[in-house]
Amino acid sequence: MLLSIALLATFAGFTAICFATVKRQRDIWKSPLGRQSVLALRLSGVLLLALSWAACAAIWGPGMGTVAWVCVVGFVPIALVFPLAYAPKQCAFAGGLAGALAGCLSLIALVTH
Amino acid sequence: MEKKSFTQEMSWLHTWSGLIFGWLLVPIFVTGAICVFWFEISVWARPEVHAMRVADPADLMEFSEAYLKKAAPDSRLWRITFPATDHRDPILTLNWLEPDGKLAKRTFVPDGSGAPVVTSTIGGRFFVNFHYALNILPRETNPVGLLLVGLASIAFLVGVVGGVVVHKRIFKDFFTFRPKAKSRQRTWLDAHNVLSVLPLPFHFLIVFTGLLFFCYAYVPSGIATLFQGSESAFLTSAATSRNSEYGDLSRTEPGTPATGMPLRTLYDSALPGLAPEPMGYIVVRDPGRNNAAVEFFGTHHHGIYIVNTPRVALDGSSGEIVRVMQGRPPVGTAWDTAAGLHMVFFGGIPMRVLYLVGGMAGAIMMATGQLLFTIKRREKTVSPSKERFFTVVDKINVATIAGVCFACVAHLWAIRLLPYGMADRPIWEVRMFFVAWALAFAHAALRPTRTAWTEQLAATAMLCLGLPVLGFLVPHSNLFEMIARGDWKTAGVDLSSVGFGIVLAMLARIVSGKRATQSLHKPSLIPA
Repeated sequence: MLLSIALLATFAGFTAICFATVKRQRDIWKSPLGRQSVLALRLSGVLLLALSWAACAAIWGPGMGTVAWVCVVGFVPIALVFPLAYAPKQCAFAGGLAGALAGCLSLIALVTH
Repeated sequence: MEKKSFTQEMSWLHTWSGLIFGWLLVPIFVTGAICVFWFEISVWARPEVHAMRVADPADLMEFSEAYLKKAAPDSRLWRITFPATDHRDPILTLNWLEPDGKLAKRTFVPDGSGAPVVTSTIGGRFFVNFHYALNILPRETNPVGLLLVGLASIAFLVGVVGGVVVHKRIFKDFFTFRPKAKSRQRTWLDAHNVLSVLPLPFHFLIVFTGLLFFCYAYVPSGIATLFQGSESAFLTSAATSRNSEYGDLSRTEPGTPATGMPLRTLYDSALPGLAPEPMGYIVVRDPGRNNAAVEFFGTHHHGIYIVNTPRVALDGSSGEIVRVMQGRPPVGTAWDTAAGLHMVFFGGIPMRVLYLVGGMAGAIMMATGQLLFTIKRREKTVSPSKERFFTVVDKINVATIAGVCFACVAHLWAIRLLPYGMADRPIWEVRMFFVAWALAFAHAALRPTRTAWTEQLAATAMLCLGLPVLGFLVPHSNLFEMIARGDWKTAGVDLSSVGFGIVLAMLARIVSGKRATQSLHKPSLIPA
């Protein structure tokens, strides 16, 4: 479960950072987002990536976990960028869903641990 | 002559070293990614050890000692390697030194029954041998393969650093992939960048640690000066320098015959020094003599790396503990860490899957770069002589990208299909890889480029999808039975083969251009 948290959080985090750029916002919204929304997206992106590191560290410990995180952060975005070109809206939706799922699973993991 | 800018110089280097060494690096990455699971492939290749119970080391020890006493009573060295407790390498291996200095080897199933491992196969070892030395072995006498791989690795690191300079827009175009761009170059460049930028740390890590692993062989002057060119002397020193006051256990002359203590008894006295680590292997020097020395090696899973400490050495005739060694000197630890990071002995199956994906992504990243070479240049008008050169490049690309995948699966087919009683079976398994690869080169040379791509990808996909079917011809290798008895590691080889088969079949379909012409009237990504 922790590994799926890492994967989902990375996907969601990169989606958030991605839609913080004006170029990507034009794909789904008519006008670019306001400054605060952009900042919120960036912050949540960074937090989600931090969560994915925490999940890796929880599985393997900080040393090995970082190695795993480098892999996860390296390859998960590939699964975002290619579909993004064909279906940006669905990607944004999937990113949101992944983030929500990662959050729920983390809560469950925290409670049950 | 006008002086070129730094970026232009880098671009030249990135392009040409990428193209030339890419032909070597794509096969190295493909085989390297596969050999993350080489133990599993080795088990998969030996039906008689599938899902076998691993007996207690003490029981295996008794059997091994009895066997070695009979088979090699006068040998000066025995070595008993226990099956790994994590089932990655579930084989009991006995070695002894023959009078002519060669190391004899017998392998047995791990359940303590003493039945030999009968399948003569290279298992997953070929992928290892190919990815570090292009199968040009032994590297001590013929280091050409090792040096070529080293050179290619340095070219890779140079290419990675140069790539950051050359592809200036990588951060601006961070999330950009434009499949509908007017120029095909744009699309491929985007794909190349996406596959390069974020995985860069991982790719740097894997290639750099690979280089570190054989640093002493790439720069041999240190060993030549300090150890008179003896690699083994260097390795022994690097592993034991902290304990050098104990000296080496090997003796110049064997002692007089004597009845030593049984290994089992010695093991009981060694056990407190080894705990809590599992047994790795035992080395017995001068067995059955009054100067016998028995050394027990634990397997220490220390985070990222595995080292063969603790070590406990005992006097074989009196049973006294001669020395206990914990840990390794700092140089050894640094090397172990690099090796551990490269060979991913840590983190279990999920970590190895991540490494497999990483290696494959690296191969695909370089493949997109190879394809870009001609795609980019063909967008301008080209002279007939240049066109001829590009055609040759295209054909080599087909054979080194799709062809090497074909050869890898063909090798696995050979492991399953060659007759079990065949003489030199492992050698033929390896030959089948090169035969298949040569076929791929010939096929690429004879067919038009796009047809060659489609056919080789489709053929590889079919071989991948067919691999589990072959299991039904071999005992204990029926995929459904393997799943039913929970032998996921062995079944995983077949299942991943099916997975790769599906992906390759999809790729073949995309490359064939059928899908594109049906839906949209746009040019195919691969030139005809």
